[in-house]
Formats: sequence, structure tokens, C-alpha cells
Amino acid sequence: MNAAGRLVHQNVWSFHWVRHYFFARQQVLPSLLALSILLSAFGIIYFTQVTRVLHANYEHCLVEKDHLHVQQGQLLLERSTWIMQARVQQIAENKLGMVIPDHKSVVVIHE
Amino acid sequence: MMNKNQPTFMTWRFYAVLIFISMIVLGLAGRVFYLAVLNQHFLRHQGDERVLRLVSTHGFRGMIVDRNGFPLAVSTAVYSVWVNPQEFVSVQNNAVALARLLDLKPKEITETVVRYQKKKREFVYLKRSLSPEIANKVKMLKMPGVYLQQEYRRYYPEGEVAGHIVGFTNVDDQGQEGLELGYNQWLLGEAGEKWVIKDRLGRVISDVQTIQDQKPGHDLVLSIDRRIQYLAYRELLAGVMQNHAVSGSAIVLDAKTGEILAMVNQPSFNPNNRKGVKSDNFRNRAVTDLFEPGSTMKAFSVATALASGKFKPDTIIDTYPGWLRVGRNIVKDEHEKGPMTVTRIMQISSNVGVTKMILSLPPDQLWELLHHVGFSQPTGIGFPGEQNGVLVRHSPWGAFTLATLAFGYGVSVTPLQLASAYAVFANGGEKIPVSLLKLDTPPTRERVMDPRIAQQMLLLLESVVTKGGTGELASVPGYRVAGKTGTAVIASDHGGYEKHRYISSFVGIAPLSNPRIVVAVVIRDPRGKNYYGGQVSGPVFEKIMESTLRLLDVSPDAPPTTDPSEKV
Repeated sequence: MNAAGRLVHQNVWSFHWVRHYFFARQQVLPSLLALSILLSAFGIIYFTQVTRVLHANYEHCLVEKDHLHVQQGQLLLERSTWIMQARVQQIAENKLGMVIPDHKSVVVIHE
Repeated sequence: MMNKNQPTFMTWRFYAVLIFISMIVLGLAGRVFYLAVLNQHFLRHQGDERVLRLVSTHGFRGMIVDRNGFPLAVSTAVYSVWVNPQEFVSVQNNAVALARLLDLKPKEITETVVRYQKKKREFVYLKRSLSPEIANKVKMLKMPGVYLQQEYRRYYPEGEVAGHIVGFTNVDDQGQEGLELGYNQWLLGEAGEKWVIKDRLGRVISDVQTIQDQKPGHDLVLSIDRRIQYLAYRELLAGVMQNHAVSGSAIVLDAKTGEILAMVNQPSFNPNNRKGVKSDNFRNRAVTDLFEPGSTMKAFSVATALASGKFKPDTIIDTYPGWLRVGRNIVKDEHEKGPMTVTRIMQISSNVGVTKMILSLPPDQLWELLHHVGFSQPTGIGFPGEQNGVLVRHSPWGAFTLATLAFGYGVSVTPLQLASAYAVFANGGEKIPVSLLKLDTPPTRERVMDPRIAQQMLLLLESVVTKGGTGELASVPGYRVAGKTGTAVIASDHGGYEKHRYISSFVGIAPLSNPRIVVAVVIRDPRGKNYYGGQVSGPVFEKIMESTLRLLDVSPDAPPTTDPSEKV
């Protein structure tokens, strides 16, 4: 209890002390303004840095997007080469021995 | 005293040094002020000049894909190798290694470099359009003075099969032919611009500001189905070769939506490799070449006759003696003569019968029907160089002019217009605009013919493809097919008609119980032993139609016992 009481007492004391020595009433406003200028200055520095990093990221993503776009095109071309109709037909006929059924071997079943 | 004197002496020296140092500091401060404040603009400009660069970023050209999303035209990155002859060290090893990668002779490289060195040039291409793999290997060599430049090239995976529709671009990525030209603005990407900081070696260190973002072009989704396109191409090619024809076109049309599923021509070209190809081959003949259709027009003449109410499919008309004097000219038949029904006239394509019917009607009626089904009018597919055709409205109509119009002369049409006009029969008399682009919403329909007449016409046209008709060879087993043959003499450049030069055509619809597909085949100037439309174009039609129906999973609709002998 004693310690707590002393703390309260001290706090009150120090509050008065701070108020008395550092914040004379007419100095409150200029001090606050000075503080906010300082804060905004640091803010500008901080956000400039953040913007730079984000912009760099953005550019990096754009480059990657272009790269992926190009790659997609190449893969599409590769797929097209593999599934080229003439190639499929050739493999079906020569390798797998498949034939397109002629008219005589097709029987249509009507229900 | 000594103690008193010393400080005085020291004070003097102290102030002298202090003033001296202050002057230096002031001088420096003044210089800094001069540079940083008074001269700031000049210096910043000089600094920026050395490191800031405005670079443009590539805007990709959109893809062209078929209706199922398979690519028909794709832009992809390729690389060009260039050297700065002033920097290139012409050691034998360098040239040999480079030559092996680029598939050149070492001598060529050294000679080029030396030649440009003498001219004091700083840039010369060694080889262009290299694949990324080779470019990477060149990069790994890390040779001084050898640089890579990224470029974009258009590739057409379907090659000559879809060459006429898709067209091609030039080196500047601008459309030159076909849809690449017609939809250039839509496909075109917009290049972006940005400021970057580069170091001494030209590497980008950081991006400073984006002036304009790059905008990729839009993709273009066509109504084409690459499988049908390929089959149509293959069959048309076989037909043109077999009949030794000069050229040919075929169109597969989805009658329900007006979408063009395939459009092929012969002769064709490979858009990936156009060196030495005659520009004549670039033409998409299915929409740019006009021809006199001949007998395929008779379907509309007979439809006009039926619509007048004066004729029924079983009305008997006497075509004896197989020729008819109209004005000062004679209309002749080649096959049969005597009294016959309107159905039979259609079936054997009798000129006399059709002439007799049309001449007994008010003269403008045929023209109006032809006009309404789309002849001499743009189809609206947005294809560059498309022709509208010629269909003159005479006033007054001469009897012979009208008669020739009734069997398809004195009028010129494109194969696409012909297919589109036949789609009117397939759609119960409603006209649907054709489209080369895949449609999301159903198109607007326009009624141009009585639905009962359209239905009657389908049955009449079906008789053409049955035994005894001119289009017997075009019948597709298992399906009910309607169609009409056409054999027209080619008009000569000097007026009149050429002898023994024909355009053989066939237009048909299937399956009749629920018409879905229209196929038009036009083969120009067959030099083989056959020249009739039914013999030249009919079999091509049959193969294209059959494979299209199979690919689209259309079930056979012919009655079970069409020909009992075929079934065991």
C-alpha cells in the first residue's frame, strides 16, 4: 500500500513538474505542431520507401506476367503441334491400325 | 610574464586559423549552395541524362482461337542476335562457336563483322527469329559485343488449313490479310512506356515511373471448328486434285446459328512460311471470288414458282421437245424430255421446265426472292475484300434475261452467299446472318419465305440426291440429305462463254428431319473427264457432310429400310 501510495504521489508530482517546466500554456500549440511536422516528415520517408518497394514488386510481377504469357503461347503451340490433325490421323492409321469405317460396315440401329 | 604572453600569442594564431578554416568552410558552403540551389536544374538534368531511360513495353497481340479454344494464331517471343562490330573480338573460336549455334558459316560471321567494322557501324543483325533455347545458349557464351533482342512473331499452328481465314501479319505486327487485317484494331495490343534507371552496361536497376501501362490486345474467338476445318480441307484438296481443277472452295455452315464451321479454299498457302507464294493464293475465294452459280439457282426459281400458288410439287409440265425458243434464243435440256412433275424437273435439273414456270409468273418475283435470301448483299462477316456479287433488277425484264436468271446465269455470287441462301430452306424460310465469330446470343432471324414452301423445297431437293437425280453421288448413307447440283459454263473475259470450262458446284442440307448443316462445294474448271456438279462436287460434299455430322454427333435419321440389300 505504501509503495502504491508513493507511486501515485510521485506521479502527480511529476505531472505537475512536467507541466510547469515544459508546457507553459502558450507553448502547447507550437510544440504539437513541431511534433506533427516531425511525424509527417518521417511518414513521407516511410511511405516513399513503401511505394518504391511496391512499385518494384509491381514491375517484377508485370515482367513475370509477360514471361508467363510468352510461355503460355509456346506451350499452346507445342500442344497444337502434338495434336495436329494430320499427325493424329497418321498415328491412328499407321501405328494403331485404325480405319474410318466405310458405309458397308456401319449398321444403324433404330429403336 | 611568460604565462601571460603565451596566451596572447596563441590567441592571435588561434583567430588566424579560425578565420582561415571559416573561409574554407564558407567557400565550400558557397560552392554547395551554387551547385545544389543555383545550378540544381542543370545538374539534375545531366544526371538524369546518364541514368534515366524511357523504355517502351510490349503490348501483346491477341490470340485467334477456334470455337473450342484451340489456337489458330499465337504471338510468341523470338530472339534476334546482333553484334556491335566495334566490340566483337574476332577470335576464331568465338566465330566458330557462334556459327554452330546460329547455323551459319564461321566465315560469314567474321566477314560481316569486318565489313561493318570498316564502315564504323555499331549494329548489325546476325540472325533473326531464333527460338528461346538457342537464344539462351548464345547468352551462355557471354561473348563481348554479341547481344540478344527480344521480338514477337506470329505463329499459325493450323498452317495452310486455316490460312485463308486467319490471314497473316507483317514484321511490324500489323494485319495484312484475312481476319488479322479485318480485326486488326481489336487484336492489336498497346505498347506501354516507363522511365527506368539503367547502369553503365544498360541493365535496368529500378523502375522509376510508369507513364502508360501496356495493354494486351483482345482475343478473337472464331466460329470455326478446327476438326471440321481440317476434314473439309482434306476432302476439298482430294477433290480438286482428282478432277485436275484450277481452284475450289468449300463452306460448312451451322444452319441453326449461321456460324461458319469451316471455310476452305484451294490453292492454299502456309502463313508461317510465305516465301515465294503467289499472292493469288492468299485470296479467300469462298468470299472474294464471284461465279455464275448455274443450276444451284434453280432451287430458288422453283421456290418462287411454288410460292406463287400456280404450281404444286406434282403439277405436270410438258418439256417436250427438250428445247424452248425464248425470244431469239433457245433454252435446251440435256437429259430427258416430255411431260413431268415439278419434282422431276428439280430432280433432273430441267432448264426448259424451270423456264416455263418462271416465264408464266410476274417477272419481279424471282428477283425479289433472290434479293431477300441475300444475293448481291454483303454477308456482314467483316472479311476484308469480300465481294457482294451482282444481281441486276431489269426493268422491263426481257424474257430470255429472266429465263437465264432462272437457271443461274446473269447473276454472280460468292460460295458463302450460296451456302447462306440455302440455309433459308434449312431454317423453315427464315434468314439468319452468317458469322465468322462464335456467337453467344442467338442471331436475329428474318422471315423471307413461307415455311410450307421451305418444307416442300426440302423434299424436292431431297429427290435430287436419291437414285435417278443429278446429285445421286452426294447421298450420305444413314442420313436424309437435300441438295442441288450446279454445272455452269465459265464466262470468258472477252464476252460470251468459254468452251468446255465449267464451274461444278453442289450445295446441300442435312439431316432433313431437323436441318442442321449446310455444305457448299464449288470446284472451278475441272480438267478431268468429269465436269458435272454431281460428279465433281457431289462426292466431296458427301465426304465433308458425313464427317461433319459424325463429329457433331448428329444421329442418323434415314428410315431403317432405305436399301435392304446393303444390310446383311
